[in-house]
Amino acid sequence: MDSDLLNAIKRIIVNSTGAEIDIQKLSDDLPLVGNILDSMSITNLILNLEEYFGFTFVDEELIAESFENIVTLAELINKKITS
Amino acid sequence: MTLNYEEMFFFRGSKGRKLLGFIHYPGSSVRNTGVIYCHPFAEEKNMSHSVVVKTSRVFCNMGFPVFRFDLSGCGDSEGELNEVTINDWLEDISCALDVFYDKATVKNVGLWGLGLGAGLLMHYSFNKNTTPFMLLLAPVLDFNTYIKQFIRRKISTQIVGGTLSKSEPTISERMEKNGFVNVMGYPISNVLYKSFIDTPHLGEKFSPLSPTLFLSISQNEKPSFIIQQQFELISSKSNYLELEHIMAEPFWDRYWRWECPEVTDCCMNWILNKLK
Repeated sequence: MDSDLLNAIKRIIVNSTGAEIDIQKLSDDLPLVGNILDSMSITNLILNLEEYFGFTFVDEELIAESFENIVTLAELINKKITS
Repeated sequence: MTLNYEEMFFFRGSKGRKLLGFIHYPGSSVRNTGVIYCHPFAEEKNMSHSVVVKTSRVFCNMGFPVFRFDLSGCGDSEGELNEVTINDWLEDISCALDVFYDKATVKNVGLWGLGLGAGLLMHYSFNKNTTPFMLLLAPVLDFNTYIKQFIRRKISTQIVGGTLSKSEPTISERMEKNGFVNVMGYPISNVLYKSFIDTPHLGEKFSPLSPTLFLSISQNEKPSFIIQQQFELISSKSNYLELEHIMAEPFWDRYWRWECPEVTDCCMNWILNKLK
């Protein structure tokens, strides 16, 4: 996976949570949900990803599997920006 | 000197519904300009209540009668959220204004709104020149995006709870099947959802005919891109629109923000300046 994409997603995740998280400590396979993302930060994250990458998620993409970790999120985003 | 006093009462709104109204009357030095307030959506209404009441009392101390009311299906007003539409709410605003003119005997009424309430006032006042000013706090400019984002709170809750996976029907499918979807205790019906989606983004068509303030409130140093962009679009055509930004917690999204003096002071000073 493209490291620029992974780093961009990490930055957006940190901004969406509003919490003080050290971006360096976010490993690609760290489980996100219930770990650093609650429902409010997921809502913010969805909007922030859409604004940053300039696409819109469809309902079918907004499922638990997509938000499992940074890699699963990156795979979804990569699919959308390359399609 | 007579003390300010407050009156709570019911009046008829859209489709004959009984709406709750509340007027703050100044005890002395009463101005002939009143202020009507339109509240934001769902939980934002409850979370902002304290700041709004405090700000209303400050306006009242300045001599402005202030009218607050609950839209149909909200707060203590009649109707269920899953049976109202944006048009009902626009009609509620019109009914509320009539009642306010009648009860407070004011000559003109400034419009003050927060979030969705501010967005509703923009639609209500579209192409009308009947208000001395509009004070629009964190206005919702795009109803379509707003309701989609609201519904996404349900999606996010389900993602966290692990109950939303590939095998489950989507929110849209469930809304289609059941007629509504419950988001944080608020039943969003197909009809209400569609009325949000169908409400046009006013964009550059919104050209205020009286002094209007977009008050952006966030913890960022600058206004959001969307408000800034809308301001630039409109201000090239209308000299009446101003944009101010306050760095503060969005009190309508925080249970613990009971006051926001920065916002109250800014609103008060702006109104006094406009009515000089």
